[in-house]
Amino acid sequence: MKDKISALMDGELDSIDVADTITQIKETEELRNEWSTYHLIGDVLRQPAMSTADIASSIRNELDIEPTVLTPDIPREKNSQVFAFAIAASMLAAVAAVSWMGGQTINRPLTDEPSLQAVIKNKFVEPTVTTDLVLAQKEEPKTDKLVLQDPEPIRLNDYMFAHGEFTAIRGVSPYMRTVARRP
Amino acid sequence: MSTGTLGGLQSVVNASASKEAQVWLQRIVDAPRKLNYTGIFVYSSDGHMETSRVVHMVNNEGEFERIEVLDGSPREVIRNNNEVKRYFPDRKTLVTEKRGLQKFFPALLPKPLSNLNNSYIVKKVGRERISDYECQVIVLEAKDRMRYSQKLWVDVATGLLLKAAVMERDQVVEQFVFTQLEIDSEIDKELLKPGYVTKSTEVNITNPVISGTVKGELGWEIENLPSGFSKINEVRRIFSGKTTPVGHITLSDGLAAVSVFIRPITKDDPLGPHESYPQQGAINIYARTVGKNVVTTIGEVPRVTVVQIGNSVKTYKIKWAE
Repeated sequence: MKDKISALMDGELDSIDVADTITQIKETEELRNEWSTYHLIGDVLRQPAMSTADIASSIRNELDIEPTVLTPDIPREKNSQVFAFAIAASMLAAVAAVSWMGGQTINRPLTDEPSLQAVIKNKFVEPTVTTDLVLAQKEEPKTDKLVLQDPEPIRLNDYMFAHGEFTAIRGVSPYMRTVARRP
Repeated sequence: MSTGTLGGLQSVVNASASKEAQVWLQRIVDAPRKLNYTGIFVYSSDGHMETSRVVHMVNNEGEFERIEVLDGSPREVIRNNNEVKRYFPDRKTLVTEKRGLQKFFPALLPKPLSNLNNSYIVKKVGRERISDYECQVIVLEAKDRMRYSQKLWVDVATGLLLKAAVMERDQVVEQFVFTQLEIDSEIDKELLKPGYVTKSTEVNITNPVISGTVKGELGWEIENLPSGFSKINEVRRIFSGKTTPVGHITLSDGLAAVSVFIRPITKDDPLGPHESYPQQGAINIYARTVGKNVVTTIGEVPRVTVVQIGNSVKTYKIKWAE
């Protein structure tokens, strides 16, 4: 019977056998399973590019080129770690400047975060990513220094403070939004 | 009666309603200068919320205030008139800042609320109770997408703002609300003292900001302003630890303010990493370079607005900055 299924799939059965074989396949679960298996084998044999092994190698190929794809605009003369922390520093300022009261942001769980490379590529850093780096910074004094050396956080805080004088409706306190939201 | 007359009447009615709403807005601005209060408020934005305690006292020496964040890492703001100290006990850090423009805080506001009607539809929309206080609800509905709408809940008796929501269409961008409040209470001065610093032995005092300001032409212009915005102030500031003045142009639509800071890139003060800053609450920040200057635009407006303003900054003489 298996030979007949195989022949059916290859179009080698005559019309009477075809009808007979199809009827049997319809009625017998075991034959239906054979039928599916043969189709699967046939698909794999006919389309080697779609086989599991090839999918794996195509992913490997993607992975090989991925870093290049993701980080085209990191200045080469800079150590990328330093650059990352520099961004973290400026981001710290952004978060610092605006999230004093939104301090919970700092504690947001680090789930579903974009990779740092993606962040750099997009030039858009989620506060949580900054948090990640800030946490790392606490463990490494070296990084801490980098943050301190970077003038941007302080500057942005200065800017925020200076800007705060012009908010027309200040709510409960003029520091609700400006001063009050820096970590 | 012709429709023209009806329309005319309607606009008179609208104008008077708007005028009444503006009286409420002025009460909001004036209330903290006259009132003592203590309370707990909740601030929320970006799906996060934080609870703070505020103690506010006014006497013949001025205005004094302490805000203490009750969630997460402890933080405090202590304000004595125009001097503001921020405490970060876990970092053993104290930041002292002084207000430059407004000598005695809050001094006169730079023409606030005056041209509101160009950009917002100002409406009184009924009464609601907040923290057991009867409040008048005022809505400032943005006429376009270049600004946020605001909904304000004002204590009928005192004019104190008890709840405020910044809205982008139907979405709340940020909000604060009092959950507990006592107005005109006797304030124990002890409550205005920082709670942490006395316990901490080492305190780093960082970043004292003295914003020296000089009125004058900066040689910068902002073309293509979003409708409703106009320049309300232009100064040079010297920030702490810096020698080069920073240009500071402030724009306002009567409610929302946008500040443009222009600083020259120098050897001592090189170009830092300027990236796109994510929005936090209602504040958006946008930085770009113009020639050998960094232009940073900050405002409680949608991102599109800081970007348009930032991109419209042009120089016609850059000598002062060199």
